[in-house]
Amino acid sequence: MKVLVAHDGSELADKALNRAAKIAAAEKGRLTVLTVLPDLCTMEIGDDDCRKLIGIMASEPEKRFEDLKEELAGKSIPMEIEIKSGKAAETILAVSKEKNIDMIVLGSHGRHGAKKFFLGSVSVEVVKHASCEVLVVK
Amino acid sequence: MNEAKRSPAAIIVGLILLAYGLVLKSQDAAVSPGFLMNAANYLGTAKEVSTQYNVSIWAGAIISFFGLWNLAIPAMKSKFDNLLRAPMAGVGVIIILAVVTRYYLEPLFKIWGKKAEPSLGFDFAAMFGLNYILLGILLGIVWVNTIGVPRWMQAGVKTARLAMKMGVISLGAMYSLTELKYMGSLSITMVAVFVLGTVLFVLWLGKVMRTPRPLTGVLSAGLGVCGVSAAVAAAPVVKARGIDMAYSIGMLLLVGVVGLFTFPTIGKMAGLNELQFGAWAGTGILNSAQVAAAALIFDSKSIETLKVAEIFNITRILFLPIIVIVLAIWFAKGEEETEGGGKINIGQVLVEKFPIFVLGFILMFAFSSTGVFTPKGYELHGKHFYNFKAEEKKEVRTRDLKKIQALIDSGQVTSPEVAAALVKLINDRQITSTAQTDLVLKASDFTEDKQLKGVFKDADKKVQATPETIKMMREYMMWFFAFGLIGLGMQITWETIRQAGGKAAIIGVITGFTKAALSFVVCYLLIRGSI
Repeated sequence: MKVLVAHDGSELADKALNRAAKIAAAEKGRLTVLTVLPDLCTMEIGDDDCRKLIGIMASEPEKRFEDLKEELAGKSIPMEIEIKSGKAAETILAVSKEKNIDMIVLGSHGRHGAKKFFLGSVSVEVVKHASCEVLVVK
Repeated sequence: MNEAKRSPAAIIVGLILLAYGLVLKSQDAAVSPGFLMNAANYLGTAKEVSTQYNVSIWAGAIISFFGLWNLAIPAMKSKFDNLLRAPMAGVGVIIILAVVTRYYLEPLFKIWGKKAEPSLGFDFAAMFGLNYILLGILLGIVWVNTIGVPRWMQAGVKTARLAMKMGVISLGAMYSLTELKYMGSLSITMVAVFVLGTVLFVLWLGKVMRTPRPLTGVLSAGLGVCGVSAAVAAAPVVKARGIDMAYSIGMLLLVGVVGLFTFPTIGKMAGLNELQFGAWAGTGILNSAQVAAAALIFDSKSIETLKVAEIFNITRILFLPIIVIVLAIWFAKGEEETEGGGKINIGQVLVEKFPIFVLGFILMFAFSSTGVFTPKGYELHGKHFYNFKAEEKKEVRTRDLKKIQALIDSGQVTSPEVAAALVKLINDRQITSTAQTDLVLKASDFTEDKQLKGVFKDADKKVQATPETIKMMREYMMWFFAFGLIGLGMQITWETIRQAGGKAAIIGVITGFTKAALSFVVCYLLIRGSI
């Protein structure tokens, strides 16, 4: 079973990651941890600067996932890490399709605290359009 | 990715443009107007129909050609394919939007504005500057935030940046040396004060609010110099983290967008002239593309405001390397304990951050001021082109010539040179040289008669003539800007703006507002006269 977990650095995402790791371990599956960086490359900056910016944005999750890799290696869950930039829901769906993911795990809402206002727009989109199982962690 | 590159998008878009152009052209040639010509007559765009179909047919043909090619052989990842073949479909869509906004939406709003004037008390289309530039940006924003930009259009939208640069480069040909000197010295003073002032203010505010130093550094560059591009330029020297960039860029975009939409209306209500508004926009609006946008929303008919605003914008871009170096020093000072953060190579910063398009701008200016673009028979003198070939329409009326004679006879013209120039004018009935036109204009100083002053001005105006090549260059330049700014709209996404948050948002709003208000006061009170 291929499990994909969407991780944006929030506490809820950690919770989702934990659930996903447990499921993957129980099912002897593979785990894909995906972080989608916001696409901040507006027309104000050129391609070079855009690449630099993505590098800066990606450095944090890269560091975070280094520890995670070691941790999960102990539990012998095969895993891979993907860092992409773009729109969150769209990218999560595209990656799951590309990798034939069987289950997507994600938090009900993201890092932006304004829960009531943006009521989990990403999770709603993913649930609506995913062609596989989706587990929304609350 | 690859399946997208074989898409029929470009050929479809190309054929739509081509069909539109051909139908319009045939209706223009036909005896009885068809539905498109009827629309053009109603909207008052009948005069511009030929530009419209020329652009549509040419663009349509080129895009269809690439579209066929894309359909036959999928675009690979070569530089050529990325540069030319991939963007075509998106480019076509933006051109269609530009045609729609320029020839349909703007005239429509103009009519509506006039119609609503009696009941509203003001012409809302004129007040809010609802011209094709603003409508194009709005259309872009609505498009990207509702249906979104599909993958086949993305490469095309990205060319907006190039289009804006091309626009600014061609703008270089539109300045005279006097203008450039005057605007340049004004902008260096204003920009130096405001850039340094803002940077220091943000550094201080960050200290007071105990913001993380990397975030403060990025914000000070972004708010002080030229928005997002400056923030990214400063990022490495202050060791900015991802979250700092997300907060800053979201906020810079937000403050910039607010400025872009409010500046033109405020400028109109306050009655600013081109020089005042251009200076204000070039100082107070954060991002480069937004400066051009605000100037063109304020005035899309003449390019004077844009010329001022761009000089200010270029001046502050040239300040960027200095600010990056200042920030590096500031950051290193605060990081003594840690491993000497923010080490930089000053030379490298200067080379890397030099905006290459400014060279193009200067080159175009050099060409135009040495007369490379001036066709035979025309002369560039000051900011105007002249053509002195004897023609009836350039002649001063006999009645007015008699008045001039009377002035000479009265002996009020104490300068012999001016008197000689006037005598020559009476003999030739029109002005025949640039030296003479200056002297004739000077003759105004020797009379109080307003009507006569008008005659001198008219005589000068009559020999002014903008060559077709220059008119065409202006037209193309405006297409570059219109194109680039629709693309700008398509990059203003709610996704990016909602990244704004935390203390970055507070600092951004305080600083952005203060800078806009202060620069308004300075431009309103201290900048006098026009260009």
